[in-house]
Amino acid sequence: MSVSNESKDGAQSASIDPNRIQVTADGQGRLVGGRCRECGTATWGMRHRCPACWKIGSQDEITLSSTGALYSMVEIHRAPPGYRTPYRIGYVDLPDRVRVFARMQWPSGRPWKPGQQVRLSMQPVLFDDGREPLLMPTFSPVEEPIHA
Amino acid sequence: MRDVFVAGIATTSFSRDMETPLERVAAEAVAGAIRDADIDHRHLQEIYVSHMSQGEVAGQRVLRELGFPEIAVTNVENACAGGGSALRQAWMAVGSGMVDIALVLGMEKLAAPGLLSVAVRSYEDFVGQILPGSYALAGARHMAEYGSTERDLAWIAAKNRTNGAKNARATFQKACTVEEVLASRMIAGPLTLLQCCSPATGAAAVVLVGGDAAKKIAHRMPRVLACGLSSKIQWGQPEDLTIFHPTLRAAKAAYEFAGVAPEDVDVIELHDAFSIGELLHYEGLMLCKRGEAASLVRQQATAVGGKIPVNPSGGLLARGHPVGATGVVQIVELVEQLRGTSRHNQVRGANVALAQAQGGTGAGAGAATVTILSN
Repeated sequence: MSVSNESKDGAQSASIDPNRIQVTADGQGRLVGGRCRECGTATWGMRHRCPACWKIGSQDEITLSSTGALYSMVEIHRAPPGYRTPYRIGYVDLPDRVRVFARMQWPSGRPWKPGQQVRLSMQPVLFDDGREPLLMPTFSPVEEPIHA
Repeated sequence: MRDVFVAGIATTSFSRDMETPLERVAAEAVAGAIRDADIDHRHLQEIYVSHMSQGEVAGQRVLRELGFPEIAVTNVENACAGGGSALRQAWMAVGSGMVDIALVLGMEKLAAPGLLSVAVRSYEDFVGQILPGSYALAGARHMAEYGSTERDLAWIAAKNRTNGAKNARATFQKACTVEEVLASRMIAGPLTLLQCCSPATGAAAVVLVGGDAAKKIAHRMPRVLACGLSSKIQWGQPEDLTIFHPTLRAAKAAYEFAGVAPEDVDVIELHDAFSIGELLHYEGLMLCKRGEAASLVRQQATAVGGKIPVNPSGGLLARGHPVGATGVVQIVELVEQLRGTSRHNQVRGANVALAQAQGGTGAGAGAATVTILSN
């Protein structure tokens, strides 16, 4: 996993996987995907080979939708080493039959509903082991103002 | 396919031992199964060995401890479904007539204490996923869609740990209540610590026979009726996570091949790596209709003494989970049930038994096996 860093106000705008996420200098982010010219199948992240029709090098880069339907979400309390807890993670289903996995930013105590519309923003992920915060794609309810 | 019989079984105790060499642990299971089968080990023709992380030619390294003849050995890896997968290979070898006597060994040695995890690192891990989290996401959706609750899940964990309190071979032999399960440390909502299995060290082995070799065995033997196998291969499209599809496909294949219906099964050992797993596997094994798994909990149908006891041995939660061994120790437990010799939670009159195992990375790659046995 390659990480490219540009700092922004102390939080590193790290594109943790440039294949899947592009971050601009002002901390805005977009989810990058590929769409196969031959069969139209979309994937999260460009793929060397289209998994549907097997053509190699057949994808064009696309920007995936920044809103989607929440499939499921949970709060993690025991994390991989160094990650500050608790935090939420979830699956979001985007148009073009793409499911993404991301951090979730959720108002405390607010329940969630399957299929609820959520919106992408880049939010800092915090560490307890001295690492600088890392911006990662994060989804929140569409009706909530995004806290930078 | 001709009839395939289980001639012998053995298992070590499971524990969090990290000192004893793997080869010594596994040799105990191999020797025990051969002794239980009452066969000359030099008549064994093939051995299938399941493990996940024990290194190259692990089966052969074990057999060196026993000075084994240089017979055919196949090492099988399918994460937590490895044991069932190795058994399936042996079942096909004997059932086809190619082999008359085969041994299946499942084994694993604990590398580090803590929660279950796998070696392959994915994007999801970097975001902060943990293996229990992948189960938690499936469970949270099941709860949201079908109304299953945290108490339903906690009941499963309490049932299994309390069943395991009678299992002298289990890593954890401490009964607990639903309240204690709910009060234990939160890992990944709704999973609390007591709803998560612990990886462990252990080994189990079974001897399968067919044809002339079966005729020479004096004691009664249950038959392996069917072994179903399926995979999870998910590359990023939306899918329904409220059921584990590999388990459902493997179950359908096994039921059909065996000519057995879910209601014919008397006792089950299934993959409760996390309480959510057991709940969803009730539906994957078609013990109830889709969405109705919680009803089996609320009716206590899967308790010992219930309509369909599940995990009377304590399951992974109480036994611990030596990854490669779990699929094989399930067969050991079920053969004891079919023989009527279980020392913990014997199901009276058990004649048809089912084992289910499942494993993978938690991020789109995995396997599931379903094995059906009968007297």
